[in-house]
Amino acid sequence: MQFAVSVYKNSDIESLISVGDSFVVYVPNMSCVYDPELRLDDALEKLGDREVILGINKVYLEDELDNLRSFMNTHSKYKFLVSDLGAVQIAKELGLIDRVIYDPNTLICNSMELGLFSNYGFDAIGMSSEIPLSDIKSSFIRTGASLIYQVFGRKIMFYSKRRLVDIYKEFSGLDFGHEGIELQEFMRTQKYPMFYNEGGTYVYRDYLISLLEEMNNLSFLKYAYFEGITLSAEVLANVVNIFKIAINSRDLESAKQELINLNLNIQDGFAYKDTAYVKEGFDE
Amino acid sequence: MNKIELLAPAGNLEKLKYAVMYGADAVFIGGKHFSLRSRASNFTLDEIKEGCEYAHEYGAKVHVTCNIVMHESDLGGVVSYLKSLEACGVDAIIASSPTILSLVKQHTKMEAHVSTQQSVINSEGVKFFEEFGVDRVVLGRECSMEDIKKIRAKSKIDIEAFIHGGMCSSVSGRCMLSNVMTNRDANRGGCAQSCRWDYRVFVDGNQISDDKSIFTMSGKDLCTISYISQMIEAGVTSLKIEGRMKSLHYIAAVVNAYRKAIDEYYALGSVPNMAQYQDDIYQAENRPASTGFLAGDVTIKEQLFSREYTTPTKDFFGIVQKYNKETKEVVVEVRNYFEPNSEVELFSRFSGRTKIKIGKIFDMRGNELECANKPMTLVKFTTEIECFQYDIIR
Repeated sequence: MQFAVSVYKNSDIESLISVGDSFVVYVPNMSCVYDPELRLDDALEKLGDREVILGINKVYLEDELDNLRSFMNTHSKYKFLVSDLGAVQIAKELGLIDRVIYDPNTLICNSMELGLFSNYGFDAIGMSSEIPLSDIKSSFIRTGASLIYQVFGRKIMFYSKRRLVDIYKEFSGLDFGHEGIELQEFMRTQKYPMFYNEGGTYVYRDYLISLLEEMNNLSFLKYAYFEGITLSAEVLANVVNIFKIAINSRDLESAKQELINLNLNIQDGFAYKDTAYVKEGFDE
Repeated sequence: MNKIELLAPAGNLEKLKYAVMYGADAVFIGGKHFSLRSRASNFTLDEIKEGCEYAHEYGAKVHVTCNIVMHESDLGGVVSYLKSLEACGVDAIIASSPTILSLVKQHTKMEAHVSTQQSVINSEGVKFFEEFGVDRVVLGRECSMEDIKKIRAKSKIDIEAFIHGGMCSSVSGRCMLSNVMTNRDANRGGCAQSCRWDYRVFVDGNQISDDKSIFTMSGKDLCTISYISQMIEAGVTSLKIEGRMKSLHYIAAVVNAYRKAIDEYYALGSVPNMAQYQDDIYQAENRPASTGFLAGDVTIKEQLFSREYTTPTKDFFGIVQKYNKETKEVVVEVRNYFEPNSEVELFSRFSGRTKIKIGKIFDMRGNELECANKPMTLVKFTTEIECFQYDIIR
């Protein structure tokens, strides 16, 4: 299992390079959430011969395809994290399918879907985080697919191509920057971090997920992904180290205490529960 | 060139029949299994069979949605269900799951249509599904008209575009608001429409919004009848009206308006009565509408920031069952309360909209009524205006 860590800023790399096995660098204008000031060439130089996965995971409009094709062609020595089957198709045409990690976030929720996509020869596939871990495990057992799965950090829960914040600013007359924005639904206390850029609007869950206690049962993952959005690189590096301690020394209790000491809002998401849905029986 | 298909929603058998009567070339419905809109009154197999027989009699097709994102526990029975649908006479299956799409092609002769839940908004995505072997892709609602033209030009399979109805604010299929906030699974038919709720905005921990600057993600509904000519010229295969949960009145009025606009374009090369058709749609709408992404990125004009915009539901009073040209007596099935000596509008697929004055109202035994207030019962009154069976009184 490789520990894949997110990289949004050039300055993150210094803290993360010693703890990560691979690095998901979110490319400006080509991923959902990114830092517009990230200098890709500089990041790639700093990461040297470490495994780099270029995050180009937005859903692409027609006019963006030429740029996407050109980018994938130019950076074909790296791996790509994609969520759009249009990007998958381009990778097929460029002969790069084995360099693609296909993670549509919400759309692969069972072993048949996983098996079907596994036949394409991706480097790895991302299953949904909105299904129980038991389904992730059984899907792996049934397919033997190469998997990436988020084990720590915030999960995105809303991705819109609408530039809702710019429109809201126009509506309200309010002005504010890109950082530190949160939404709170009127009947709830939770606050949901929100980001926006030219490509749209993104809202994350109010909590971070942590599967620290499950790590020794997740050894089948090819990539255990650590998402650092809303965290400093130093905190993320700390977290990755704690996970390493848990796996290597098997001292789970100490690791759990260290994670608690970081005082983060951590929950287990859908790891142990399924969403509400009553399937009616079908009489064959 | 094949004539463009007008595809309408139907939440029950009666709506299916009205959609066909009022001009749909095809209807899409949900079965009891594997379908989103879990609260919509989805069809049993017997109802699907009856719906197919009715639609086919009038030359229309029936598409069935099997568009949930299946969890491991949902997998059983898919092939049997698909074969049952085929035996009912279903023409096409709409699915987001590549597994279901491949099973449709492997085990049945029905067409396989990729649901908008797969959020395909570019020609390479269409090409992926072309090579996968499906018959049609339903494009995501984020495409502009220019995108649709380019995608159509580059694609070999059928392309379907949404033209009317509700809009997801999120990229379809990628939204987990409902799952996280309510545990109701949007991709399995339980969407709580959390994007339409009200939100406060905080920056660096401080609330910056007040009661007059409530944040919401909700967009206006889609209404693109003004783009009909461009859709036809672009070679789009099918135009989809959204709204399986909408009323019979809404379906009849909206389908009829698009039907007339399409037919007028094919007959004349333009749609001179566009304003009339837009007004016909307005008469049935209860939410503000816009052209969504068709003109490009959405702006403040396409967003909703207040529920004050919502107008009361425009209910209809009844459905004409019979008209006697000699006695001028019309028999109406009551759907909502109406009174004698009131002015109402007759909405007919044959004669359009006409104001009529209702005088005295009688039950079928000839007793004079103070009002018509018992839904699904028959009443009668006289009018000089000729009515036709299934005309709508509103």
